[in-house]
Amino acid sequence: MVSDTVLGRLYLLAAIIFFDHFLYDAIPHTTFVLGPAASWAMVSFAVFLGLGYSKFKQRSARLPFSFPFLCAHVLCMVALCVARLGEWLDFGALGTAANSFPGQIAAIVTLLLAIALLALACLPLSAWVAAVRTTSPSWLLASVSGVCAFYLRGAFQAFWLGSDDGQGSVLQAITFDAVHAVLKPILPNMVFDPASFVIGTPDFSVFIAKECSGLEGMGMVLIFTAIWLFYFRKENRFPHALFLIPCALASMWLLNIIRISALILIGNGGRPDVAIAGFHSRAGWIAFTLVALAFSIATRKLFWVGELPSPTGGGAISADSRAAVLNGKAAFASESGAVTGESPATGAYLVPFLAILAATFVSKAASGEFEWLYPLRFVGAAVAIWYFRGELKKLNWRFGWAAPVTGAAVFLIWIAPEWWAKGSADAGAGALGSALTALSPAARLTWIAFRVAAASITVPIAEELAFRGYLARRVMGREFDLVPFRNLTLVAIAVSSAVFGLFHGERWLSGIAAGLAFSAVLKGRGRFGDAVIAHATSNLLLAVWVLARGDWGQW
Amino acid sequence: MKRYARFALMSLILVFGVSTVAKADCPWWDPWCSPPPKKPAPAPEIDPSLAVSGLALLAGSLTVLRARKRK
Repeated sequence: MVSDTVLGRLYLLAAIIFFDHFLYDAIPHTTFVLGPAASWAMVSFAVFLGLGYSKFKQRSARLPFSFPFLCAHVLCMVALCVARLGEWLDFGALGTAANSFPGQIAAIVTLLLAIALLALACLPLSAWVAAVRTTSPSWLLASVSGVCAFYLRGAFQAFWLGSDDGQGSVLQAITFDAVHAVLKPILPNMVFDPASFVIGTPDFSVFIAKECSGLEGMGMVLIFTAIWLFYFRKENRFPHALFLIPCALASMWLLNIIRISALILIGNGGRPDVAIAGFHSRAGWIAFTLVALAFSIATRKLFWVGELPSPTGGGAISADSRAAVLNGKAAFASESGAVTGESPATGAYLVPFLAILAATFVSKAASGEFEWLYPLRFVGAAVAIWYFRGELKKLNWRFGWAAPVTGAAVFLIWIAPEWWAKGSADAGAGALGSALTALSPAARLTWIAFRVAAASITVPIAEELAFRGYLARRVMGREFDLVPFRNLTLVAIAVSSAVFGLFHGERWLSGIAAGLAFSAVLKGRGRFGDAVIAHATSNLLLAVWVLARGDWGQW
Repeated sequence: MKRYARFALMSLILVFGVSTVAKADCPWWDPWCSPPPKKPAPAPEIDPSLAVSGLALLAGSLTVLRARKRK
């Protein structure tokens, strides 16, 4: 629940207004009530909250909440929604009145009244006066900032929205020019049309759309960097750390220039399928991941940004914390322990799976429809498992008969939906089958051997380490490696199984069922080997099914 | 107070300067004229499975980076 302090009530006010806006804006409309002023209001409120944050936090007095004012606010919002619905549905006199000039003035007055009533519901008038007085002159700076946002909104929007005359956005234009500058010395026969933003060669050209101009990547980087600096604000020095945000944005934009240039070079080099189906969006994700990782490392390694010693310098956990973890009170131990940073065992549990993900990005970025570099996934995971073999030896790798039986059951759950839908006789060859048929026998055999080996060896180990070994136990506490598998809670199993399902795309439901089954066999005897063998059995049976029936869609 | 007055003046110069340059076809005092009628933007082509993998790779890597070293 939201706290009864000034700060809690200001958050509540913002949340309710956001909700109101969401509802009101969802009704189709042609006229704006206070829309253009939203930028002013949002920035003013945020700056006021930011400047007065420390003083608001000190005021711990509990404040009353006025439900009559809230009811009046709700009535105003209902009236506004009814009027807008009338305008949308052209509902006789109501629609005409809502669309008229007096109707619009009435809507503005009602909306202002609704906001004022909500503000008084959350905070009494005396509390508002006190908040403004104690933080003075923050209100002045907040208002000036709001005015800045109000006027600069249009200018900044031109950066990505584009102009009326069809010249595209500023970002689109400079991205287009930058790609041209990069490729000009390499490709003498360039096709270059600034009017339509088409660039390339006579053999392969691309249209640089607004969303391809780096906007999406920069937006993601902005969100990531802001959340990162907020979450780890105690580890960084401000405002120094803020300087890293424009650096990260500029890096993302530059990497996007390289991405588009490489895309054209790959397409022009005779592999348009790789350029479009593989490289196009995966290169963007790779660039985003690199920038985000570099940013997070920079916030910890640069001496002029860091505030506190690195969490990697933390010591071992106390004997009390260890005892609490072993007694199933892991969450308590992690909260109360003085140690920061993740457990030293984290790398051993996550890196094999991360190696598979990274290898997948690289191999798919270098592939068209057929992922010819699939063996990279096996090699990446195998190297990671070998590297962490010392840590992984601590796990109990023994298993019993229940493991293969569970694996067989999961296999049946996995194939049942599609088998049921398609009928037993309809096993289509699929695109993968066609691609494999086109390979030489040696290449085909090698690819299939790596595919089966990955499915039955490295993938089960890596996924069980990540989902059951790490995630399920990490839900219970920071020192996850000290939690016995027998102590896994229902919440931990549910969370890890849900995330496991999420990784299986359209087969998410079967994925969740598989996750629950692997967790159950793991919790039963507390042996990690049981989960791995169950997972390996289901994957191996699936591989046999695919190869025997040519049902390549299951891969 | 002088500091705040200077801040306000600088802000106003910046605001009106930028808005005048950026919106050559609008009167400088009218911010309402800026939002052009928005054309329907094409739906972003985001592959959900790619997004899940990408975010997992990033989150996992950051988690590993924040792990303490074994003593």
